[in-house]
Amino acid sequence: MNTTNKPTGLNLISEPIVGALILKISGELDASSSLDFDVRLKQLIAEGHTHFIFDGTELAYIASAGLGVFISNKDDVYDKGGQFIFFGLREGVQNVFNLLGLTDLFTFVSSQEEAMDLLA
Amino acid sequence: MIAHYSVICRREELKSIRDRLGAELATHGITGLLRDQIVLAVDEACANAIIHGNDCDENRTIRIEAELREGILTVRIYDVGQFEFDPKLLERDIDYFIRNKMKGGLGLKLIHAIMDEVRFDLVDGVCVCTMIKAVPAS
Repeated sequence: MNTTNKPTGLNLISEPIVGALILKISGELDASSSLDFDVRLKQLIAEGHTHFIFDGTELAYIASAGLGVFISNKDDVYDKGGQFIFFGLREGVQNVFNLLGLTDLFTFVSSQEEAMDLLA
Repeated sequence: MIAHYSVICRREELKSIRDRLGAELATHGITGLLRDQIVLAVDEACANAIIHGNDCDENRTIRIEAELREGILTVRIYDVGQFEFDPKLLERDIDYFIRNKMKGGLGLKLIHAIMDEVRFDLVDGVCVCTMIKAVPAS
């Protein structure tokens, strides 16, 4: 388990499991913190990770800059057969994905177990 | 007037803008998802003004005003920067942003999805973003 705690108010905990990486995002993903998040996600993709399970249970807020990180990195993952799976998103965060019609772009499930079942 | 303050043009101010506005909206009976969406729209507009309009120049400020009158919330953001956008972006569907891996422009789409009316005016060299939203009576 690896923890990255930046002064931007965003905390990332990455936990490799068989066939995927669980990335727990805590805090607020806005136009400030998304810069660090983008760098970190690109690092993980460069390290060879392709299947990402994002734990959104502690993600309190997301702005368009945060969505942009997922959108701009999507092809680099999906082109290698990987995917972004989200679970545990709070209503307000899920609503931001919904407002922009992004619900078909990524996979959303209710629990970590359900996410892992998709990869089994 | 339920809010009237200025902030320095740096990204780190966005959280304080959200926290402050969210608290002020709550005291006026605007809560839950509606409050979250209004805060998001204002956050996006302020991010545009700070980042794109003023290049995060910490010598500059933006001013935020919000008023609630007869069920109509009006938020105005004033900045002296040169925020410009292509209005055609608003007509693009989300696939256009995805194909082009665009990070920008999504904020404007969110603002328009949330607010009832959005205007950008240039008044005496100051860019004024006006966002209007009808809210239920508290």
